[in-house]
Amino acid sequence: MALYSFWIFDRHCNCIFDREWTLKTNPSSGTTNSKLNEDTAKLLYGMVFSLRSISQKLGSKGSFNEIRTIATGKYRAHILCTASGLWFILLSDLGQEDLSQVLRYLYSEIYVKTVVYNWLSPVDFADSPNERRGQGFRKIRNRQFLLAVEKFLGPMVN
Amino acid sequence: MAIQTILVINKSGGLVYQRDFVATAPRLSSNEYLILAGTLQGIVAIASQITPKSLQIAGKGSAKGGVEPAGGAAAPLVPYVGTLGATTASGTPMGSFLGPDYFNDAFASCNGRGLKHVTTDQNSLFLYQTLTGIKFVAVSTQPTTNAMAVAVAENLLRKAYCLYADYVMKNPFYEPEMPIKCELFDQKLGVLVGQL
Amino acid sequence: MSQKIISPSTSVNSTAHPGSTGYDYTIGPQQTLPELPVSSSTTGGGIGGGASTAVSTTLPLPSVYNESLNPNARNQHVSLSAYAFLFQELVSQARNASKSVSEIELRLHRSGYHIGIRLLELLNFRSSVSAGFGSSSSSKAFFSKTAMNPSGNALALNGSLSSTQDEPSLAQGISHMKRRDLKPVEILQFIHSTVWSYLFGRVSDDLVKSSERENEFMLIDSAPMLTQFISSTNVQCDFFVCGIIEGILDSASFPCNVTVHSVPEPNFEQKVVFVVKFEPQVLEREALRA
Repeated sequence: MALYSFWIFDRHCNCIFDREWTLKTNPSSGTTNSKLNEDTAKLLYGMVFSLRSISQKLGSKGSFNEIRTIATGKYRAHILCTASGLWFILLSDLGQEDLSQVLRYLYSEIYVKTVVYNWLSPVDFADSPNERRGQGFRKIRNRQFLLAVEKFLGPMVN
Repeated sequence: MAIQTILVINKSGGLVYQRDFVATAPRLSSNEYLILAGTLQGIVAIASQITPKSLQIAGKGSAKGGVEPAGGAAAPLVPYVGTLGATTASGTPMGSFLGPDYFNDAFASCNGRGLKHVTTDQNSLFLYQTLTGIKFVAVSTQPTTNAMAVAVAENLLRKAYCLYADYVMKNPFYEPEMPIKCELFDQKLGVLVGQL
Repeated sequence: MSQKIISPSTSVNSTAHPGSTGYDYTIGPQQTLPELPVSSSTTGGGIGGGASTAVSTTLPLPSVYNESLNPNARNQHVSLSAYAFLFQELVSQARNASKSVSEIELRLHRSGYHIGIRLLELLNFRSSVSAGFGSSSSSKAFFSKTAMNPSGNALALNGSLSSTQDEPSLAQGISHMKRRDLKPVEILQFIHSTVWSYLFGRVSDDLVKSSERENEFMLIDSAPMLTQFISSTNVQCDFFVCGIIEGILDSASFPCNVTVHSVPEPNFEQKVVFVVKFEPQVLEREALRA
C-alpha cells in the first residue's frame, strides 16, 4: 500500500491542508502545507470540480451522484465530499481500490475532533470575502490535527 | 454491469460520436454532451499533471537504471479478456482482422499518465486513449473499481477502436474529425456491447 | 545479399571497391541495383568498347513483370486495409468530381471498366500456365540451370517479357493456350470463379439465370469485400465491381449492361446482386451457334 498525498479543500475552493509524501520508505518525508503545492492543489481542485459536474449530469435525475475515485495510469485519487462542502482527497497507488473508510475516519475522527471541536481553531478558513473563490491562504496549522494525521496515515505511506 | 453510453472524442476535444445503450440513460442535450467531451479532454491532461512527486522521483530513478519499485514508471500491460467481441468462427476474417477476434494478447496502454477511470456513486466512466489522441469513453451503469472490470472495459474500448479503424476510417463518405454517422459502425458497436 | 555502404559521388577511390554502387564521375552512370547477375556483360562489352562495359550491357530486368503474370507466384496477397484505403480514395475522387449520385456511380463504373478489360487478358493468360509451374524455388533453379537455359536466353533478347537468367520464362509453362469462352454461361462461370478468386480470394456466392428475362443473369455476393466498410445508402460503391464485370464481358465480345442492387438479408446485411443484362445480339449469335 502506498499513499502519495492528502488534501483538504473547503467550500470556498481553498486548499486548507495538504500533505505530500515524497519517499515511500520514510513516512516523515515530504511537505506539509507547502507553498510549492499551490498549483498542484488548483489543478486537483479543477479536475475534481469538473468531474463532479460531469458525474452530476450522468447520474439519474433527482439523486446525488458524488464522485468516489479517479484513476490514471499511475495513481488513484479517492474523494470524499461532505455535506458542508469539504473535500477530502487521498492519492494512492492503483492497488487501493477503495479508501472511502479511511477518508471517513479522517473526517469524523480527526477533522471533526481536532478542528471542529477545537474552539481555538477557525472552522471557516476564509476570513474576508477576498479570501474566497480560491484566493485563501490560511491552512490548518493546528498541532493536534497534524499529529493525528501523521499518526493515522503514517503507517499506510509505504 | 452494463454499458450505458459510449462516446468518441476526437483529438481536438470535439465529440464525434455518442450513443446510449440502455433506456435509463439520462437524456442530455447535445450541447451538454459537447461540453462534457471538452471537459474530459481537459481533465485527461490535468490528471497527468498532478502525478504525485513520489512517483515522479521513482520514475527518474528507474530511468537511470535503478531498481524498479512496485507501481513505478513502466505501465503494466492490460491483460487480454477473451471471448469478448468474438463473433465469428476461428479462421474467418472479421473486418480487416484475420483471426476470430480483433486481437488476442495483452496490450500496452497508450494512456500512461492520463485519466483512465472514474467511479461515482452510480456509474463508472472508463477512458481509452489511442496513440493519435482519440478518446473512447464508456459509462457503465454500476460503480466498480475492480481491476478485472477495468481490464474488460479497456478491452471493450480497444475493440471499439478496431471497429472505428475499419468502419469509420475506411468509409469514403466520412469526413475526418466530423461527427460519425456510419450505420455499420453503429451496428457493429451494438453487437460488441451486446455481448457483454 | 550483403549490405554495402553507398559511397558519395565525390568518393575518390571508389575504384578500389569494385562492388561500390555510388556514382563515379570517371565512369558515368552505373546500374545501381546491387548484385544482379550480369551474365551477358561480355557480349555487350564488345559493342560499346572497353571503357563502357557497365553501360552497354543488356541489363536483366528484375522479375516483377514475370511475377505478376505467373499464377503460382508467391506474395499475391494484398493487405485488405491497403485495398480499402485505395478504394476509399477512388470513391473520394469520384465524389469530388461529380455533381450527382449517379455521376459518382458512373465514374466508379468507368474506372472498373478499364480494369476489367485488362483483367480478362491477364487472367486468361494465367489460366493457360500449367499448374505448379515455377511454384517452388528448387524446380526453378533446376530448370534454369539445365534444359531450359537456351530458350530462356532467346526470350531475354526479345524484349519486355524477358526473364532473368535464373528463372525460366513463363512461356515454357504454357503447353496450350486456354480456349476463348464462347458461351455467355462459360464467361459468366469464368467471372464467378476465376475473376472472383483473383479479386476477392473466393468464388462468388451464386450465379443464377433470370427466370423472367432470357438475357439476364445474376451474380450474387453476400459479403462484398470491397465495400464492406462503407455504410452509405444512397451511393452504391459496388458499381466499381460492375464496371469490372462489364469490362471483362465487353472485351470478350459479350456487350452487356451490368447493374448492382443491394438485397439486405438478416445475416448478410450487405448482400448485393450484380445483374448482367446482355444485348440482344449476344442471344442472336448464341441462337445461330446452336
